[in-house]
Amino acid sequence: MDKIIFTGPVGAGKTTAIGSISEIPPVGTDVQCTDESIEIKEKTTVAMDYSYITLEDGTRIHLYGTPGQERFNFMWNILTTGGIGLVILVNKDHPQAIDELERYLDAFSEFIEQTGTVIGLTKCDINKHSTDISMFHECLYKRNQIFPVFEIDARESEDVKTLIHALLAVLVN
Amino acid sequence: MQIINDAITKLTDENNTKSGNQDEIINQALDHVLKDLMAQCENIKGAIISSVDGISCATALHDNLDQNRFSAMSSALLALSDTLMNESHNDLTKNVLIEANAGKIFIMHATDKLLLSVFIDEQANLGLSLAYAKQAIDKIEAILSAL
Repeated sequence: MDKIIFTGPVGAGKTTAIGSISEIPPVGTDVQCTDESIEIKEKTTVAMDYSYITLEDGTRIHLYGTPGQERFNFMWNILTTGGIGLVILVNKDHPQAIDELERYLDAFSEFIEQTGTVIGLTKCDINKHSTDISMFHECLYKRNQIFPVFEIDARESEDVKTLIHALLAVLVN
Repeated sequence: MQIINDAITKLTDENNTKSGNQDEIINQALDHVLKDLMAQCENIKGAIISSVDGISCATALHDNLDQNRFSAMSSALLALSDTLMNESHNDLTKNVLIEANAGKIFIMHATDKLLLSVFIDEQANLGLSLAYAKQAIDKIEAILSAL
């Protein structure tokens, strides 16, 4: 089974990204936020998101989204089991966007070593605290983790499909 | 039960609401709900009240269980179960029951924002334990409806 995992901080757009390319009504586990996340959104994923897409060659790619909060990190291990690649989504307009990226690169380091990874920068249309894309490249370069980085709109299926195709290209190489 | 009634009285007292004592009173009352639950049956070995998004609100545990981790796991399990029930029966979960040789855990919705997780040992009567848990949920609802 070809299984790709979407991860990243709260509010990065994981559920939205999976929903935008889903061929079926996505399986979600959204509940009402009661923590500080409520400032960003009303509902949050507590177990997983699931859906799938079928590529032009007929290959079905299963998509799993993780919860963003650290307290659900037990789900991260469960969901990455058997995965072929990782998509890390980061809110580009987050004041500590680079730290946020590094947190997930560290948390998923074991999985990243075994598979391919692409980075999607979301909320690029907001420019309150926006970090330049070059800073993300620099961060990855310093860590010796050269992954493709894309500015995307998680609501746009073509943008999210670009991430999937880039990840599959990384895996082939 | 008297302590819980007192808490409800305090919560309906305008002075307490104004002075910001509400959270403290609620937490104390929820702690008492769990203590009462554990006192009702020696086979109930622990209980946690958590928010639906996995934050621990009150605990009564005999073992050194990580309440924060357990709250998050309970929330994930109940949310998955709700999704499963919603898609198969267009309904919400009454309870999630996990059984093992050493004991059982059940997780239930307490209110729309809270859930109750209860640990029972292998000797426990499941039906009775569920009934005690339901009584605890009635008390939680009474406390929160006093707000």
